[in-house]
Amino acid sequence: MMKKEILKIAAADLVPTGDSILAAQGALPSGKMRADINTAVDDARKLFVELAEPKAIMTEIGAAEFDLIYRGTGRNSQPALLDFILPQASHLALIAATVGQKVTQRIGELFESGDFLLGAMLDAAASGGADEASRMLERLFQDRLTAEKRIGPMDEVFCYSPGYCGWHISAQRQLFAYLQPGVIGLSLRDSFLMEPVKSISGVLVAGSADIHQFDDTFPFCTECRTRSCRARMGRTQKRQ
Amino acid sequence: MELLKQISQSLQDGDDEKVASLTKDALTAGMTARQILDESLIAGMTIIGNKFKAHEIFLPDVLLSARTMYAGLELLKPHFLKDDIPSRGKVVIGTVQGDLHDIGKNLVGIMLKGAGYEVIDLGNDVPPAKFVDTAVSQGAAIIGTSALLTTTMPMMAQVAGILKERGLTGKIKLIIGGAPVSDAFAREIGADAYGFDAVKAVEIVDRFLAGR
Repeated sequence: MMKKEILKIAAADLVPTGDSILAAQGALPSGKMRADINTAVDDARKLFVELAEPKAIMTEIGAAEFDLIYRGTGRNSQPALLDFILPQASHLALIAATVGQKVTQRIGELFESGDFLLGAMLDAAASGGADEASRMLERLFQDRLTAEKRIGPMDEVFCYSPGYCGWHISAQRQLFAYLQPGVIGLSLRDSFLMEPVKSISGVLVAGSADIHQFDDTFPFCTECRTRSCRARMGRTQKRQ
Repeated sequence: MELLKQISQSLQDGDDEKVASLTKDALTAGMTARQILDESLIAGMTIIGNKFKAHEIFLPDVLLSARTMYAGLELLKPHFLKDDIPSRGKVVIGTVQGDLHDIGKNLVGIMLKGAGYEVIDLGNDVPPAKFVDTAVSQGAAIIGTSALLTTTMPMMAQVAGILKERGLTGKIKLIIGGAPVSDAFAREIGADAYGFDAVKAVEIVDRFLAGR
């Protein structure tokens, strides 16, 4: 079983594409943007590479130990998505990753100085970078499990996070207590949000690709603003 | 007048150098800072806001114009101070505790500044009492709270509750906004208004502060 490890990630490996930064601002990928806007996107990507200090922590965890974290303070939705997925999972790993404080600080400075355009673009770049860190850890866990022949070619690894899909955000407390991500500079606020804010945490769930397929018709799905599960499920279908 | 129209158009075009240059020209020509603000910068941002509301332009276009507005505003600021011209009013804004989503809140702040208000932006993950404490200490007549998550909506009710406890209901107006909230929710928690979008939020602030 994989021990707890700290990973340093190159910022350049996380920088989102210009199109995805614009899409985060509600702009259509095919839409023609003014030159100043495209310049701001390029500048934001450069600033992200310059300022981001991505780090991650990851540890494999057994099902029984994870169950205590998942149950948290007993505030999960009934049922929550992971109630169906976890019993079918073959391997689990806890993760947390951050792009660091400097980039967040710079976003604040840009808004303060009136450069809303670059501030918003850098904000989107940092959010995209944190998401990409999550995907990178998914791939890393999948590659390792595959190399060790612990999962097969039809298996998939996906990340699930407290605060989404019925897993109550208060479980962050238990997740942090176990993972101790303070070593990568992450702390938890009273509201269970992470500091620095451009960070992710969650559990990597390995198992047959079909366990990650579900109908997004849970009661909490109607309130979900991202529906990012659809893109994820699409990824699985493509691999199949 | 033509000069003011040119400033407004340059703001809409996102040309900050031209806005700065024309603003200097307008000041040299003897126009007042208030006139330039109201009839060019605010007028331009209002057009931009309405175009955004009508889905004719994207958020980055609004942000570009907002940056351009700042180029003009920075030149006017010394004149406001010198002539002791007060802002149109103070508004405290923030995303409620437990919520990090602040694109909408930032846009409201930008549009309010563009409309000539002084905006005290508390950021995100703001505890309910901090909204009220800040409004009281800063003499702000309006609090604007934003939430994207349904789980954080109750924090808005807490802000309304604190205003009530302290006898400030009606004295400090509470506006709520964000994807999951509605007019009905505003009425339910005792908020004074629901701002569907940034343009609407400015209209509400205008209305609330008009009678003061």
